[in-house]
Amino acid sequence: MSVRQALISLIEHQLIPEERINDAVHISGIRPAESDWLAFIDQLLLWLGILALSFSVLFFVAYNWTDIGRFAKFTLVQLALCSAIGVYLKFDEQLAIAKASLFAGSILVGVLLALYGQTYQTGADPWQLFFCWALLITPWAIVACFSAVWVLWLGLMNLAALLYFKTFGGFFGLLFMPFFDGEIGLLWCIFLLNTCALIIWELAATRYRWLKDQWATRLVATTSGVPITWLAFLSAIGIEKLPAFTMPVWFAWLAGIFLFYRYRREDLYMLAGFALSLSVVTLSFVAIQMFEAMEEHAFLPLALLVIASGTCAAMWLRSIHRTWAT
Amino acid sequence: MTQLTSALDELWQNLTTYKIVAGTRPGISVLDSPWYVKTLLAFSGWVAAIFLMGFVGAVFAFAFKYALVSCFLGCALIGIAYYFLSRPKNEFLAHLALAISLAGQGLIAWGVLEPLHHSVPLCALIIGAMHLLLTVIMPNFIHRVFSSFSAACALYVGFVFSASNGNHFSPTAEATVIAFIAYVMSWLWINEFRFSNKLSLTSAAGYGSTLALLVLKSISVFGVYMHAGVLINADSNLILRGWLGEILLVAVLMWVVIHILHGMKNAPTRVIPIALGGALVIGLMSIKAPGITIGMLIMLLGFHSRNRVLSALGIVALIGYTSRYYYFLDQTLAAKAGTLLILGFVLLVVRFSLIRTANAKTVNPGVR
Repeated sequence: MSVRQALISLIEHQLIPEERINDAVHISGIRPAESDWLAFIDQLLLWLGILALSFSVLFFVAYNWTDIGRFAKFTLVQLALCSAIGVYLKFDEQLAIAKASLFAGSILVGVLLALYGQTYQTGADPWQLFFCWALLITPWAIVACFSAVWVLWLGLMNLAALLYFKTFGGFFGLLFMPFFDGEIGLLWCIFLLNTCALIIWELAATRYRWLKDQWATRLVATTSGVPITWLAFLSAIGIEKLPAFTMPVWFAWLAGIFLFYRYRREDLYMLAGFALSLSVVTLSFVAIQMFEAMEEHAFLPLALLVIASGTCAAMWLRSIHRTWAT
Repeated sequence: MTQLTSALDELWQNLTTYKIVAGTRPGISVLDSPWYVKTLLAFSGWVAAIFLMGFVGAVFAFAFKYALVSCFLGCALIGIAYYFLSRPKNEFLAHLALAISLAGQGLIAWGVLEPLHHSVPLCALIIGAMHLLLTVIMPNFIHRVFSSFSAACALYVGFVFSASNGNHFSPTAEATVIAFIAYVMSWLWINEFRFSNKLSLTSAAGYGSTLALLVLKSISVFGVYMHAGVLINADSNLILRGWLGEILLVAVLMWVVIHILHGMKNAPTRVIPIALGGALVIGLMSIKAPGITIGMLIMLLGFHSRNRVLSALGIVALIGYTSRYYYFLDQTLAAKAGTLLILGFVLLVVRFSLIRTANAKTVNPGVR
């Protein structure tokens, strides 16, 4: 529990006299001290500055200025890339400036690939750009010890998969075509990619502490949970014809999320996602059955059912939260 | 009870030392639900409200035909919701009340449309006033967040539509109302702890106005209304003509920075112009790349009140609005590249100057 929450609790219970609240706020340390502000502004301006410089190179290449020769353009991009990596090598890799520089370098690799494609008209499909980009920054992602670079890597892989689907309308040729074509196939592909990423991430996090960034695992888990929940929802309401294994896969995903994040690595956000996915799919199925049987008389019981499920989920999550906090 | 109460015990000890509180700490409940649990509850309340409205529509179909009956029924539902929320805490009743109240609000909104001849500004005025009232009176955090969010949205709709001449959209009016909401949001977060008996209200209204600000600015920056065809004569370049509102946003950002600097008793004198200058540069940049000021503003307020949810919202806003900059057609990509290049250098120079100034103070505290 944070100091902020503790102070709010004391104020709400009116245990602090109104005229002394200002003093209490200062004493509690909720308001950042000068040194905290300095550290915050240092990080903020550093990241914004470095990213602004990287994107200025991206915008410049995208403009495709014909008056400037290809040699000058390649020099500019490669100089920016070398500068970013030079800064990374100069500073301690744990410092923010090194991490921000490597992140900028990872972006500039994509700019270089785009410039290469623009100059030599390679005729490559767009998905290849993002796939090669991800492939080329893999060594940096490994040495960076920084989860944001891995999130960028995974984002590029997702984008490559999306564009591959747009180009070919399926995945892995004939092997999975009966199940993986069209938008449904894309959902399966995104689900499989991000679920594999989540499993590998969690396994690696047991060994490498820097991978334990909560925001990153939560983001990956969300990108894994949203497509499978959507697939299960479509299957439950019966609009789309989906393969028979959709519901078993969804159940397996639910079980995995519940067991791992309830007993192995405690994370309430993941359990909230589990509860939301379970509620959405089961209530959708029940709603369809009830409307078929009861027509408009189903509205009230359904409203009560939704409230009851929301209440149960919240009470369950709160009780787990309380158990973990004690 | 270790982690749960240690922060509270430590704080109580500190406050006792400064004679703000006295005696032994009373046993109080301190564990608040995280934001995603509250979001889950709000989502289920919203879905349940849709079903409830369906029920009301099916059972009291006549209510939708007569505006007065619809309004009366809506008020009655809100009254029932208030009764449930005022009762001793019961999870099920609280969520039921949320859904009932949302259904009631929907009925009132339906009821005021017809008598006012579908006049958007007038309807928005009435719905906004209703939500403002509900924000104050409803004793429930999620309800207050929703009501304050709706009140801000109603203000936006009312103001923009009343300032728009026929189908001619007024970007200045839009940007100005967004700047006003940004000011209200900033005031609420800065004064979060000012009124002890209204802490829940200020906090909920703070979240509501922040969410409204993000949604409304996204509508503006991403031009959603143009795609929806609500105001057909608007074009994407109009967004950038709302420079007056962007300047007002810069003023709000400067006001927040001055407030924060004022609260720092030991800030070096030379830091003040650098901090204000930096805020001004970022703010002015926002005239060409709308939304950056809002992202910065929310991040600053989040850090100022050690509110991680608010800080995260600021980061997401900053990334989202900046990504839109690429697609604005008022200037070429070369010009944008030049702007970003200058901005990048300025930000790094400001950072360098700030760190150097602050370090000089640390090394030799006598020099100011």
